[in-house]
This record gives sequence, C-alpha cells and structure tokens, in this order.
Amino acid sequence: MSVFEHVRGLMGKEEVLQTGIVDSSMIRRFARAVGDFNPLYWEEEFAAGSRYRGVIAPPTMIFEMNFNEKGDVSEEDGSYPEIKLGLHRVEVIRGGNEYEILQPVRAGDRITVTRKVVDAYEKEGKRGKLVFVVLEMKYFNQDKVHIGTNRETLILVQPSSAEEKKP
Amino acid sequence: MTRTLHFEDVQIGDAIPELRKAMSIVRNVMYAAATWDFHRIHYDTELVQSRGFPKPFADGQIFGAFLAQMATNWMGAEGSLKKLKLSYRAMVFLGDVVTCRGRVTKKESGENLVFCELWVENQKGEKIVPDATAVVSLPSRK
Repeated sequence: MSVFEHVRGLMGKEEVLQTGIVDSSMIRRFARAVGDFNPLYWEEEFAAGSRYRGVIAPPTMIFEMNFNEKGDVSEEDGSYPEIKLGLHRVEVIRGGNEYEILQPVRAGDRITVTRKVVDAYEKEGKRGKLVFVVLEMKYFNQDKVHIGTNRETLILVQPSSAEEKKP
Repeated sequence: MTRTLHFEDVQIGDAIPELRKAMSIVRNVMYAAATWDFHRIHYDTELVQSRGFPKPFADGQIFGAFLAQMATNWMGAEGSLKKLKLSYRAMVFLGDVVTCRGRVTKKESGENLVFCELWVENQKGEKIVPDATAVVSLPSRK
C-alpha cells in the first residue's frame, strides 16, 4: 500500500490521541524555552489577581506539546513516532498550523486530545510526489469542554523506491 | 503587564511592536524538552551535516509561540488570542535571529475582534513564516 493510500484510509476516523495533566512546571518550562516571561505564566499571585484567577498556559502551548504518556521516543532519530500516523519509513515535515483557542488552559487542567485525518492529497514536488495530510486535533478539559482546535498540515516524504525494496 | 490595549485604541494599519528572538542550541533543547519532540535535527550538528544541512534547525511550531507572545505583549492581560494561522516556508538554523512583525488589517465591533497579518523574518529579511493571520479580542472602554 502506498503512503497516500494508507493516509486516505485513515480519513474521517476520530481517535483519542492523548490525555494528560498540565501543571505549572510544564507551563514554565515551555514559557522559558520560548522566552516568554509573562507573569500570567510565572507568578501565582499576579495570575490569581487577573481575570483568569490563576496561572494559565501560553495560548498555543497545548497545540505544540505532546503528553507522551508512554515515553515514546525513537532512540534512532529522537522523533516522536506517533506523529508518523502508523508509517515507519517516512520523513514528516510540518507545513502549517491553524489554531483556534476557545478557552485558556489552566495549570491543573486534565486534557484529552482527539485526532482525525480530515484531508489527504498528493502534489508533485521537485523530487517526486509529496503526500499532504491535514489533521484535526481537538482539545477537551476535565469538564469535557472543547477548549481548542489545531488543524495541522503535514508533508510526508516517501522513501525512494530503492529503499522500499529493502526487507 | 499593567498596560491594557483597548479596542478603541486600535486603528487599521497599526503596527504591532516587533519581537526578536535568537535561535540557540539551548533554546532548541529546552523546546524539545517542553514539547516532547527530541528529533535530532534540532540539536545534532553531526546528523544534520550528514544529511546536507549546515546546522541544526528549529521546530517550526516555535514560531507560532513567538507570534502568540508578540500578540499577548501587545494586548496586555485583558486581551485574548482567538485564532492563529501560520505556515513554515524556510528553515531557521542555529545562530539565526528572527523578528516577528505584524499589523492590523480589520476591526469588527460587537465582539471587539481585531484581525492582524503577521510574519516572521530572519536576519537576511527572508520571510520564514510569510503570511500568518491572527484574530484577537480586546476589552472596550465603554
């Protein structure tokens, strides 16, 4: 089965991708990496006095991170295999993201993430066919409230036919 | 964070104060740890050079976080980022310095929404995130 046929076959099926709890140290680690010292993410007291009444996460954090409950990291290339959609010998390039933020994520929230393949198409690239996949991830909190959506376009680069013949 | 941007203060065409970020191996490793994406392309010089790239490069999603920071710095704690759409055009290598910029394109009263176009360029002026868009909601003075 080709990469394109594989991802076409996934279309429309929604799965629960991940669940996990967002905590304040996770928020600080992310905000530090970005270099964002907004007191809403760092200062308990300031955040408690804001309209959020507590520490919140930067608006796009939840869409950029994985909970990775199983600690699934490839020893070979360090990648996070879940992003590969059940394919093994493909390189995944992120093409774009479209975030819709419905409610802020708060320290202590238990998040459930669902994923669905909503589109898949092929385009002719410089070095052969590229497969584009559009994923829709929806984020829900512990009260089952839909708090955000991430529509992500991935570009799957297929192995050359020579590589594919290897056992 | 005491400043509050109100809907009435914003005019179409207004520039959003820019935000500059230096891309370093420390940043890439911190971001890998924060997001659980430890792909070696973000910090392993030997690996990327074996694939024909000069240096490790950034995970594109971090530019969304930079654009979100630019927007929240501009709005203050009373504004909210509602939507952000971006695509990744070119690679950003260790040692590059990127600048986020943007301007207001539309206002919609009612929900007090402000529409913006945003972009990220590198030190050579190349747009690495060329035509991002954002929607924010701002408090009203009324």
